[in-house]
Amino acid sequence: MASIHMNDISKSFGEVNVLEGINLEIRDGEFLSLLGASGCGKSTLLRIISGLETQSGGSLRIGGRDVTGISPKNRSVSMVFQSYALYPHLTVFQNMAVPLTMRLLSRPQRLPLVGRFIGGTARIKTEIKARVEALAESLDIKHLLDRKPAQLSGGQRQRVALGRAMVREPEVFLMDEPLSNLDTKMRAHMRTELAELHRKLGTTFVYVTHDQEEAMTMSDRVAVMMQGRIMQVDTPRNIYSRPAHLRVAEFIGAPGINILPRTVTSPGVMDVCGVKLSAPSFVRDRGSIGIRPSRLTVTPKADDAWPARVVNVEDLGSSFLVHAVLADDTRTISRLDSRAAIPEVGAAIHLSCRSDSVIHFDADGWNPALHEARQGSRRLETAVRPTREERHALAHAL
Amino acid sequence: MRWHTLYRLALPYGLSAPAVALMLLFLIGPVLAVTALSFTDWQLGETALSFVGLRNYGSLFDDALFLRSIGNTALYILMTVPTTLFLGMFFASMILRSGKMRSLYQTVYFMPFMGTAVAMLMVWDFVLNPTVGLWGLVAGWLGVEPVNLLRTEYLALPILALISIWQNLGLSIVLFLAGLSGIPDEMYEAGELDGADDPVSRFMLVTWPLVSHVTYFVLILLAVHSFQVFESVAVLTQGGPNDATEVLTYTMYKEGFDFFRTNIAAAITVIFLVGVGGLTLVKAMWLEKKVHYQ
Repeated sequence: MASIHMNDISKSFGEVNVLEGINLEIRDGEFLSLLGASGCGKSTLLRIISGLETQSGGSLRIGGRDVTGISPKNRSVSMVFQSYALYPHLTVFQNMAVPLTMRLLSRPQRLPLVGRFIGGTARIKTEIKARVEALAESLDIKHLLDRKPAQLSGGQRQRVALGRAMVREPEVFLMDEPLSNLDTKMRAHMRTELAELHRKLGTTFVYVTHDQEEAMTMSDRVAVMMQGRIMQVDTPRNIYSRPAHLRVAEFIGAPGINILPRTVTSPGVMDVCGVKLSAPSFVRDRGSIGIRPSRLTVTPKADDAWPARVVNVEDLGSSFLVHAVLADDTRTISRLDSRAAIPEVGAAIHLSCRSDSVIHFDADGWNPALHEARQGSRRLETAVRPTREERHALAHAL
Repeated sequence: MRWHTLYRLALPYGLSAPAVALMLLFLIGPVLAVTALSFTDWQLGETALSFVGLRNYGSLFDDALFLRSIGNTALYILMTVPTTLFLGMFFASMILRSGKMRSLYQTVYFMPFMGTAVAMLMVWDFVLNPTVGLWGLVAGWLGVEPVNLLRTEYLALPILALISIWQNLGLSIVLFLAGLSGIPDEMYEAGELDGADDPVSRFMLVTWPLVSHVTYFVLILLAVHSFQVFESVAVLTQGGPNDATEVLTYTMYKEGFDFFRTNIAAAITVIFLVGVGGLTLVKAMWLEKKVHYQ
């Protein structure tokens, strides 16, 4: 059981800054996902937690202990790699036993042939055998113990890799895109299994993925990373419905969120693509609004509805995606329930949404609603509390 | 329709015929001829021959020089193969970590393997010369007697072995470089997390098993190579001093082309081929149970 505290972690490879100013607290027993596109630094951050990589700046504590300079094997963390990294020459049993033999047996005891004659070896080996077999039983891979990794399917290898990580009962599990080598069906299955495993073990899980679906379905909280920074740390629900930044909003959700430019024309009123809508007090000047496709619905003609023309309709079975173009050529996507009246391609329609479904972004892309709410709060896990200058710099970088 | 079927049946044989013909002419044919000759009393230049059964082989195994030759060859293999193998693995892992200098080191070490053997052996002859060579100079500095290394009975074969190691190290390095760079970094990282974070455990858990297929290959290749040692003996020692460097190929050459006892040379060749063939068979069997990669 361990929490993880990261304080101002940075990492650079030569001139390139991969991570900057990472402040993150992962709670004891939490399932936290590091979500981001490739190259955002999420894997590097995971490797820093594991000890395979050393941070260039900042401090890292696992279970209250500063682990800077402590080797990976002494950190009480286990890692599941994307490629599983099973030892191809060892059987499943031997693979799972490696973390135990390396720790429990001394080097002379590990020697082939002669090792068994050193006192205590037999007893420790029996104990290792019992532990591996019990774990294999619970992971439902006991019948595979004599096989080599090459003789296993993707899902079975995944389970063996999990077993190898679990066998020494670490305080933190690190997973680097462990499901990305599986087919879609197996992935969905393993997703459920991992979530159940987490509930059963109650151990801290840190899970790196670029797949928002994985992050959203399994995690207690998600840390969205972009360009070496953490943009937002929150529950999956809040990440989806209250994104901290335009880029987060665009990254999460499929099909992507509708982004419409807006200008505040007079206090409390904003112009969005030619339609006047009421604006909350914290919205100023220029910026944009985001509307999830499921919230942008077809309505009868009204003052607060955009006239639009349907350019494409996609039938997804349970719902339809209606692609439309507004008067000023802005493209939108609406997700309509399959029982609703579906307009045909070329039809002139009106689109609107409820004001509480609108997500506001200022000119730099930040969500002012969230920023207002967090003013004065000193919660550490809300990593994004940049100053005005930082926000400008970051917006520029993005 | 019949023509078409016939054509389809004949096509593969027709296409492989040139290769098969060449193989029969230049590989299998000579081997069969040599094997046949080894059971006769034919000597170079004679017009008649008669079948003598296994007599040639019998006389060979009664011949002290031939037995010494086999012993020397075995000793030579034992001295060269393991050393070249382990030095190759060691230098390959060093070169792998050398970054920018890697291609330079690779070229430098590979050069002896690429060069013309006889030309380089002439240079070695000069280097080892006790009066005008580098060895004489170094011996003078060290204050030791500049003995003629190639004329000293217990040193000649080890010196030839050293030259062979120098020559073949590059090949061993290049093959191990390929094998070592094929090991994914994740394997070492997984090992590090599992507790194998010192060089010895890392080697035992990851490196050694994952280059085993290269090791087998290099082992057999070097063994066959050492089995065939000829140039260094012919250029530097001619089998001497006192038969200390008499090896199988050199005995074969002497019997065949100095003494014109073609039948005896043929018998040695057959024994030699059985040896090389045996090694090749071992290699094939080992490569069959090749190491598993994911």
